[in-house]
Amino acid sequence: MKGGGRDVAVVGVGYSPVSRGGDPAVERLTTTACRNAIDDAGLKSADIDGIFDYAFGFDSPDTHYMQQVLGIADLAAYADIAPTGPSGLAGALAGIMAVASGACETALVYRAITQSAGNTGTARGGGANLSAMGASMQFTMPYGHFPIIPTIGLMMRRRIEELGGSIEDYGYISLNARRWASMNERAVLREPIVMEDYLNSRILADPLRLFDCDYPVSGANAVIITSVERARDLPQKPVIVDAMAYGTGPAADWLQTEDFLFGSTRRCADRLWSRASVTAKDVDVVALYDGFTHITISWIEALGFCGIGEAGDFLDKGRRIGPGGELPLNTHGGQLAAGRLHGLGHLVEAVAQLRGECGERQVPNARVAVVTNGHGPQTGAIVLRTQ
Amino acid sequence: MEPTAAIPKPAPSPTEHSQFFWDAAREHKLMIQRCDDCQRYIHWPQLLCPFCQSERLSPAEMSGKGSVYSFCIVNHVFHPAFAVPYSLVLVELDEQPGLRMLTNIVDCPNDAIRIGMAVEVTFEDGDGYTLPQFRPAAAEVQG
Ligand SMILES: [Zn+2]
Repeated sequence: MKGGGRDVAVVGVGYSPVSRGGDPAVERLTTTACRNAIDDAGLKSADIDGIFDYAFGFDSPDTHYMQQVLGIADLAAYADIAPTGPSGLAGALAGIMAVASGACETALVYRAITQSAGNTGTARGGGANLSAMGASMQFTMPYGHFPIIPTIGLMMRRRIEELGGSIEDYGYISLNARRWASMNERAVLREPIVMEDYLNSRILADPLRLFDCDYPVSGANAVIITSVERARDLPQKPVIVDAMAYGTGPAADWLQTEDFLFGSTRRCADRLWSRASVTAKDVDVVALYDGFTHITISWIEALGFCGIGEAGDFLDKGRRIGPGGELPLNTHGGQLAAGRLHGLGHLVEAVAQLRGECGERQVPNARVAVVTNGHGPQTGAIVLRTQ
Repeated sequence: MEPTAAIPKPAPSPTEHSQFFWDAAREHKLMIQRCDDCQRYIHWPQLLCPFCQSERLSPAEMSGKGSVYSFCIVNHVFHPAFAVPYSLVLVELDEQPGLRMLTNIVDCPNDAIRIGMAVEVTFEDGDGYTLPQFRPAAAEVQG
């Protein structure tokens, strides 16, 4: 991998069932996804010597819990990653670094989330604490600001004003998710919608609507990361990590950051391309975070698929990012339609595309993919390619 | 929807280095942290100047003038103490580009709020604390 270390590949992916409603045990979801990923990679749990996960506090099992469940004798590298990271991709980035550096040979990465832990639009937490967001809440919560929906509403309004965007630009991201989801049996919202449905969806923080938000579910994803050298002996077609990057930007805060509209997506994207062996023109399929539609639009422009402020024209009423378009986007339906699996679902789908396993929604000859997570001061991105 | 009186709005929980902001608000003054060395304003309050790493930081009284950087109108009940719809607004203070505060806009219908409109600080005395708020600037109201 350019920038140092061994070449690294993703060699296994795993899914749990995804559900809406009910209260499935998050440890069972996690275990199912992890075992499926290990099986998919043609490995046994004893082959795993690194575990990395991302969690909001104690919303899912930690690395020690999963080490015990999987009966792993010892871990050469592990970390439970805190909320500042770029969502579920944070675990994958840590796993890539651990394998690239030689700290471990084969890393298991997971993100498990339950619907109740998702952002369901109610106020929780707050008070004084030493997280950047916690420390700022004394200046936001007394005004009725509860992360993060109003923050995104503020970004959308400013984008429309400053860059001349339209509300329909966001709508095409929402429509696109449902369109692809109709071809993914694991997706939860598979009925296509039209612009009128989007515009008429409930307004939460005007101009932000319900259909700008991802869909909270319960579920888990897992991936297995190892060296390219080791990958040669494994059954799956290896998916190579070409480059990875993080970003925060200065004043690492969602509201006070210098680049309010884009957060750190532009810094992260620039860093990513500076390390990659390919360019934006080489990309066949993208999985760009869509916790909110604004985030996806930011990444499209930050990654240079079009100029800043040009996403509206670029989307071409959704044709460019839909089936048969030149930049197929979130082919699993994204979190808007396949459920809020918190970032790792985007990586799992990109790997499946590069392995050619996506059936009806397969992008022909997909060889290069970009996966991104997060916005504000918490961004991460990966370029993946086939060998 | 009417607010639920039984559940209070979340009160500010000052830290050692933000106490000045809330003390000043109680006296109906808007004070923002300022670096004695590089003279830049800092919000939220920090332990070191993020621009020059100086430890010499002091509260500075502001003009209270600013403009609307962005706004949204909240229609969803995130917390029962807040009656919807209400505005959430980022105001950029006149003293420094990019120096933003989150606030509500008061004394103004929600549908009259515009990006770029001139606003000025006002103070809302609450139960045990005072919130700086913003309203259309006097000139803006006159026409
Ligand atoms: Zn300074």
